[in-house]
Amino acid sequence: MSTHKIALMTACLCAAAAQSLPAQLDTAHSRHSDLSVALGVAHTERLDATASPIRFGGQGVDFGAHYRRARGATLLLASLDGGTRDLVPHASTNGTAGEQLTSGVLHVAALRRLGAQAAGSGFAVGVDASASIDVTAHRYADANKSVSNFLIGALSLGPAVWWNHHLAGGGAHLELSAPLIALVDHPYSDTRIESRVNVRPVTARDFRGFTGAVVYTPAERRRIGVEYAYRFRVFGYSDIQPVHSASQALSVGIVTRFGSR
Amino acid sequence: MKTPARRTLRAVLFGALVLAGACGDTFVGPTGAVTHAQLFDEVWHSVDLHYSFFELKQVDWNSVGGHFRPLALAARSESEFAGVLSQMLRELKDVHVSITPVGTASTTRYVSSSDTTRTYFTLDLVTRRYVVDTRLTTGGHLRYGTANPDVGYVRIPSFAGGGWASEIDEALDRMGDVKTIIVDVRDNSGGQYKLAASVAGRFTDRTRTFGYVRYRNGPGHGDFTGYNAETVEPSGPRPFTGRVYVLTNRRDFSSAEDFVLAMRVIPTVTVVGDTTGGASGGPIVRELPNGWTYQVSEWIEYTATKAIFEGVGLAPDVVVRSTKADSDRGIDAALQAAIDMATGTPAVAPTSRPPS
Repeated sequence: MSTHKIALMTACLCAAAAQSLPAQLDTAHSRHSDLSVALGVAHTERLDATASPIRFGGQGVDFGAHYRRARGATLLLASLDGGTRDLVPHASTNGTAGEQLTSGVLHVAALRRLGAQAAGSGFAVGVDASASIDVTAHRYADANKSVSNFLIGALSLGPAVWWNHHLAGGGAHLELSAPLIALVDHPYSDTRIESRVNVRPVTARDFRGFTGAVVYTPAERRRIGVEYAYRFRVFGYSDIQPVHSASQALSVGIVTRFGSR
Repeated sequence: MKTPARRTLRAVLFGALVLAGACGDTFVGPTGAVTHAQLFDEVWHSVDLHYSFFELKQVDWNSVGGHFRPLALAARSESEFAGVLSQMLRELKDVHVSITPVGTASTTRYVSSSDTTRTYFTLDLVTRRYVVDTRLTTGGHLRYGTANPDVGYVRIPSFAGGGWASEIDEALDRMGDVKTIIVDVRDNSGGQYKLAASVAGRFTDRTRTFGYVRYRNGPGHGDFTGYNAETVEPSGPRPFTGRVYVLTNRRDFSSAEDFVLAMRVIPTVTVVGDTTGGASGGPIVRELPNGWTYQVSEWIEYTATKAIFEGVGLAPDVVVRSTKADSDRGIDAALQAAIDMATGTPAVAPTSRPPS
């Protein structure tokens, strides 16, 4: 599935869900929590020069658990997303090259709403801490079809923004975060060589990217509802052997709400 | 839907569309045709980052690159370009370094003096004169038989492939209660390291360290990990604990040498024959943006006494070099020596193992 197709699906999904839903206010005094679990399809484009100079891309399955807790002007977001992808090379190898990517990302963000909240919308800024790991099983196009495992792991800290807008009985929100500083573990070669963690402290100059989500929840007042999301994660790591990755996923989840608005 | 809400939703979707479209090429990099200059630089740079024997072999890689880059850029066809890359890689004088272009030619690599050394080994002579009742194991990877009721013989021509280590168990079972086994790995060019270690595990009663490897782990030509121990562990349902003679020659390379390295730390094992080829590099495969593959040595392997044997080989306990004269007379001198030692009629006096 191409990135354009995914984008088109996102557009259709959100447009359909946004029809004929009454607006709703979210007061600054609300106390509520949301917990959702989601499953979706994902697409990743990736180049890890440690494994290969060839760009690989492909689809897979994503899953996630997301928690959102609001206490007055304070907002706490926590999420755990993971998934696997089967990637194929963007080059004419002899047919056996491939990658299997397994990823996991944990985010915890604390935000504060800014200014007077307009009816039906809100904006918050804060800090996001994340831990991520990407393990790539790279299958080479040699006669032995040899497989080597490569990884990149990171602990990062950076700004986060959150914006929501109520759309006729439902709600859409946007989450966005970017690393400013990070500790990155990116072994020089495949993982059989050194099993110990060897982290490098870096800034956004060397480890840059952003993670985000556009989430739409129709019938936001129900205790149990459905949630549609488009999530993306982009990062680039400048190293002797750099890593670039862009992932996006469309997911559908079940959301449970607690507390009062 | 109210107009402001619709505008907001449109803005969000527009952002998502822009991001989705831009993701691949913008954030990961473009795909498509690459020039000979880019390909050459990728090979040179990757070898510079990963090859393990620059210092040992005293190769000036900058100079090599400076010499071959203009030739590569002047190449008028893909096969000519592949030829230049192959020539450059041959400067490393390493049988583990090779390049496999797609659609232009087959794999090419450096040919060492050990590759062309006459060993005078023929399986035909073995089966005609010394082990007349040989059979193949079920998977066809091993040939076995008995030289006499007490002396078994197993021929391992290669460690290529995988998953057939248990065929050695089949051979051991079928040979019955032999007291001695001759394991013949002459002219074995290697294959899979794990397979070689697993087969060797059939002959040890406990875990033993047989060598060490140090991996290249940084951009400097002298950047290596510490010494990682290589061990041979008991494997298979019925370890053979009798006397073992391992036959070697100059055309044993890579995993066959790992097998010899593992076997020679076992007290019941005697290595007979000629020094091995000395190809110990532990190759990794790399890819090029045009789909070609090449491989380079990434580690330095050491013996149990931390001696490097790359380009030198592993010397046997008992030196028996086969000669043309032996061959002409229908004699397999190394096998004959092993049988004599196994049956207690030593025709060849054991010598101490020369230092690697």
